[in-house]
Amino acid sequence: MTIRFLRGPSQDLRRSTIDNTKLIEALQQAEVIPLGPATRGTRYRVDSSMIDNEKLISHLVDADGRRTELLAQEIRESAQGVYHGKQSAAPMPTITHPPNGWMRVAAEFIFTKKTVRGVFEPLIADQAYEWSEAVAEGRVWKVRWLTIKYAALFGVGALAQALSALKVIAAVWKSG
Amino acid sequence: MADFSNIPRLSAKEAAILELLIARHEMYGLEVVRASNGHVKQGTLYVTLNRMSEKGYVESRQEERSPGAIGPPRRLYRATGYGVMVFEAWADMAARTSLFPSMEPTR
Repeated sequence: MTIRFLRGPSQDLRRSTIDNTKLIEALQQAEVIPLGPATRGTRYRVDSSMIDNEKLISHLVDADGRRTELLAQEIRESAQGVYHGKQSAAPMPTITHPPNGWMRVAAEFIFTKKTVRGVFEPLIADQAYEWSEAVAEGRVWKVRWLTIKYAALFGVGALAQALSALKVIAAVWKSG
Repeated sequence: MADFSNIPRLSAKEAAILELLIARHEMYGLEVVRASNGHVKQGTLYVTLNRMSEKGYVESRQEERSPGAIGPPRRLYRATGYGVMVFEAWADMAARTSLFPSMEPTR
């Protein structure tokens, strides 16, 4: 007999092949048991007292879409034990300082206050905006990519600003 | 033939930015880059906006922050009345003469 959850991952739980790790994921996503740690390698225990029996039964439907109490006991028994955190979830890096904190220091050292305010502060604000968006979405590689991208954008901006200043100097030189 | 000699110079990038700011009223720098379909690059955007601000084509203000917001405040840019006039004159000039690059749609 096939049992599936109304919510959570779209997987079937077959009587003979209940995969305990997938079962725990399904139970967590259906909020039948509290969410355990998602970080790789973390161990946590699930016991019968953590399982909300009413929720478990309310989420189970048979192959014809009818609610069923069948297998609830078996699922409760199968779900008990010690589990490891998700193998696929890479831990987010700890935020100890803002990304590319050197940019403001470098800009203030090289350029005038007016240029820093007009050119580099908006760039730093964009970086913080995009960076926090990526962190909120848990996109580790985007976070890393943005750090590199904005370092490069700072370089391009600094070069463009320097060239712009040189053009002004050249124009003054020619007119003089 | 019309005399265009007294129209302030406007680069293609400045024109693309002004066109977007006039159409959308007020935008963040990042929105300008995303809306321009590659016509405006993020690396040189703020240098260009800063230059346009000095010329009086655009003005900017800091965004209003909600309590608890993190990160430095972003800037919102809009075209000035002078900027709109210059853009319209430039667009008219570009449409009338083949000596100048024709305007390409940025949206």
